[in-house]
Amino acid sequence: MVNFGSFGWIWALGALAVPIAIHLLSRGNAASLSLGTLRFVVPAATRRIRRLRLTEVSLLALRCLALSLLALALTEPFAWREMDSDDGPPGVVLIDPELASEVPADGPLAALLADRSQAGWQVSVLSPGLPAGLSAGLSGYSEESDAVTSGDTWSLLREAVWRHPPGTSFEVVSADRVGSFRGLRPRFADRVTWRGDLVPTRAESNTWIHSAGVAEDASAALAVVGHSRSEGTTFSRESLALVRTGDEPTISLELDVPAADLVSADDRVVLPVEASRLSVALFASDDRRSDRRYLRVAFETLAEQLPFAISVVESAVETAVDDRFDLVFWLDEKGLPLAAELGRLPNGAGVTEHGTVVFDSGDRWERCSTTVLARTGTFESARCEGVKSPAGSSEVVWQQNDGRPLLSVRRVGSRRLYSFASRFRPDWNSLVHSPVFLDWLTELARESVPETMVVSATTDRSDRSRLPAELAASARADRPMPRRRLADQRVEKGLWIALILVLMAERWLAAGRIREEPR
Amino acid sequence: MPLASSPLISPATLHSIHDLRLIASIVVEGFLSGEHRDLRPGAGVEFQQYRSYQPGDDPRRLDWKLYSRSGRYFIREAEVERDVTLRLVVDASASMAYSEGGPTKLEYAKYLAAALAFLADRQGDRVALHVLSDGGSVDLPASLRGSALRRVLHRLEQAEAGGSLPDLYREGAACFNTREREIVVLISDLYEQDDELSQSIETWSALGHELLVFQVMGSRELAWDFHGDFEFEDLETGRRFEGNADAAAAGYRDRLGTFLAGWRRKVEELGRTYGLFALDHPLDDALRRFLLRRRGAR
Repeated sequence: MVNFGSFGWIWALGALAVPIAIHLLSRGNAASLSLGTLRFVVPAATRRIRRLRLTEVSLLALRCLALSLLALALTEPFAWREMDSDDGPPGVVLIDPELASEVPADGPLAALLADRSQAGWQVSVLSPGLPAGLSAGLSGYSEESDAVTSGDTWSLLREAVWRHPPGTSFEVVSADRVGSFRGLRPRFADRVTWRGDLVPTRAESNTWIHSAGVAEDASAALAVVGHSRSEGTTFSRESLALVRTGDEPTISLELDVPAADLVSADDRVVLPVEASRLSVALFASDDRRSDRRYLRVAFETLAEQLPFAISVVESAVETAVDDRFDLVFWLDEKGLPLAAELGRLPNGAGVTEHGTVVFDSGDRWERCSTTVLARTGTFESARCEGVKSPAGSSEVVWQQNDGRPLLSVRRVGSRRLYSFASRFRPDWNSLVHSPVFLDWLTELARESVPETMVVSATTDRSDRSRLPAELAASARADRPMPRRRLADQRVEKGLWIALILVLMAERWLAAGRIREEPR
Repeated sequence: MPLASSPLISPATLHSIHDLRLIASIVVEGFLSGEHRDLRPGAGVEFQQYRSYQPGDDPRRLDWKLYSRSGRYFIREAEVERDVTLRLVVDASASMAYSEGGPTKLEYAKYLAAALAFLADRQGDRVALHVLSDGGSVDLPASLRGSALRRVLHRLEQAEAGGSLPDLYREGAACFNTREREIVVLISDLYEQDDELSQSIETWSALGHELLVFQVMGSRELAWDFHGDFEFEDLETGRRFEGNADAAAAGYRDRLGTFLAGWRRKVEELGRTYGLFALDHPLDDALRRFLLRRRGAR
C-alpha cells in the first residue's frame, strides 16, 4: 500500500484540466481548401489525417501522464506493506528505561536476557523511537497509532507492538511502580507479558497520598491516604493539622507510618493481578448532553474503585463510531431502535453479546411531584409526565410511589435492555446525586464486564485498573489492530525518472515525423 | 525594361481594375511598347509591289519618296493580308472559380481573352467568343463591325464560373462550323470529365485551324504549396473530405505532373501551341505566342 508525506500536493492533479481543455478547444474544423479538382489529392490524404488524430490523442495522453507523475512525485509517496511473521524476531524484550542502566550481571533479569537472546529475541529499551535495528528503517506512523509521549509506558508498548509483525511475543520488564504505567491500559491482540517479578520489590507495602484538600472556610483539612500491599490497596481518610504561619495556612500531615513506607503515588507498588476492561459508550443527542456528562463523571469515579479498567466513549448519536461496547447508554427521546436489540446501533456501533443497553424509553411522566422508591434506595423526582406500562417481559427495577415503573429491564438473548423513563439530570430527579446512582452503575458495570475478569470478592477498591499482567490474546479482539508497516520505501525517485522519460517521449512525438505513405 | 517585370500588367494589379476594356488596353499597349518590334502588327509590313494611285485608295499608303523622285503618285502594296478570325474559347466551368487570393482562373482567362481580342481588333481581325459553362456554350460569332470588340468584352465581363463543360463535339457546336482558317485560342485549366476538350482540340486541329491551348493553373496549385489539415472541396463536383496536405504532396505532384505532361504532349503532337500560365504570371507571353501564330496564319 502507499501513503503520502505531503498529500496536499494531490490537488496539483487539477492541472490535468489544462491540456484537456486545450485539446478540446483546439479541435475544430480544418481550414477549407477549394480546388479545381480533387482527382490528384484523394489517395494519401485520408490515411494521414487518421494518423495525425491518433498522434494528437497520444500527445494528450503523454501530457496528462506527465502532469500526473509530477503531482504524485510532489506528494512524496512511500510504499509499505503489512508485515508477516517472517519479517521480525520471534519475540522482543522491552526494558524499562529506569532499569536499563542497572541490570546486574547475575540474577533473574540477566538470565532472562541471555535466554531470550539465544532464542533469537531482540532486546531493547522501552523508549520513544525504537532503534533502527528494531524498526527496520521505518518512518512515519499510521493514522491509528497514538502519539508517543515520554514516560507513557502503554503508548510506548503500543508503538512497539505496532511496529512488529503479528504473532510477535513481548515481554516487558519494569519496576513495580504504578507510575510506570500511566493512563488506561490498551488492549493488545498479541501476547504481552509483564515481568515485574524480576526486580526486587522495594517494600512490602506502601503508603501514599491520594489527595488532600482544605475546606473553603479553612476550618479543616482532609487527606485521602492509600495503603498498597500485594493483595490490594485500601484508602482511608485522615485529618490534617492546619498550621498557620503568617496569612497562609499550611498543612501538615502526621501519620503513624514509617518514613520509608511513605512514597509518592507514582511510586506505590504494583499489584500483579489480572485485569479486564469494560467498554462503555455514552451516546446522547444534543438535548441529552447534560445527561451524558453526569454519567461520564460517575464512571470516572467508579474507575478508581472497580477492579477492572473502564474506557468511556462519548458521542452524539449521529456520529459514526465503529466499535463494540459492553455497556451502552442510548439517550435519545426517540427511544431505542429495534436493531439495537440485535446488537447494532444506528450510528454503526455495536453491542457485545452479553452487553447492556440503557436507553431513554421515550415515555414521560405526568407533571407531578413524587417520591420514587428504588430497589436499594430512594430518590425524588421533580418532574412527572405521562408514562406507559413496560413491555410484558420487562422487570421493574425502580418504580414511583404510585407504582408506575421508572426503570425496567428485559432480556434479549443474553443482552440486557434497561428502559429509563426519566433523565440523568438533577432538574428531573435527584438520582445523579444519590448513592443509588453509583451503586446502580456499579451493578450495571459488573453485569456487563467480560467474563475474563477475575475480581476479588471482598476488595473492590484497588489499583487493579492500572495493573499490567499477562495479556493473553483476547477472544474479543473485535477492535481492529493498527497496521504494521515494513519497509517504508519512498517511491518518488522512480516517479521523477518516469516523468523525465515521459517528457522526452512527448517532445519527440510533438516534433512530428511525417512519413511518406507507401504507394 | 522587359514587359515581364512591369508591375503595370501583373495579374495582381489587373485584378484591381474592374474594367475589362481598360485591362485589355493596358496589357496590349504595355506589351507593344516593349521589345517586340518584329511582332508588331501593321499594314504593309512586307513590301510586295507598286501600283498607280487610284481614287479611293488610302492616301496613307502613298509612297512619298517615290513621288519625290517621280512626281507621280504610287501606292505601295504590301503582301496581301488575309483576314484572320480569332476564335476565343473560354472555359467558364466551376473549376475556373479557383483562386489563390488574387484573380480567379476565370478572371485571368478573361484578362487574357480580352487582351487577345483587343490586339486582334487593332489588327483588323475578327473576333468570335465562346464561353463554356453550365453544360452549354454562349457564342458570339465573328464580326468586323465596330462594336464587335465591345460586345466581346461585355460578354466576357458577364461570364461566371459554374457547372460543367459541354461536349462541344457531340453537340455540334458553332465553334466548329467554319471553313476558314482561324486562330483558335482555348483558355482553360483543362479539367475535363469525358474528353470534352480533347476531342474539341482534335477537331480544331483536323479542321486545319491554328490552335493555341493556354492552360491556366494556380501557382500553389502547381507547386502544391499547402500544409496542414484541410477540408478539401472539389469545385467541379462539390465533393468534400478532410485530409492532410503534407501527406498528399508527393502523390499529388506525381499525378499532376503526369496530367500536365499529357496535355502538352497531346497539343504539341498535333503541331499546335501549348502554354502553361500561372495566375501570377504576366500575360505578355501569351500575347507573344498569339502573334507568332498569327504571323504563321497569314
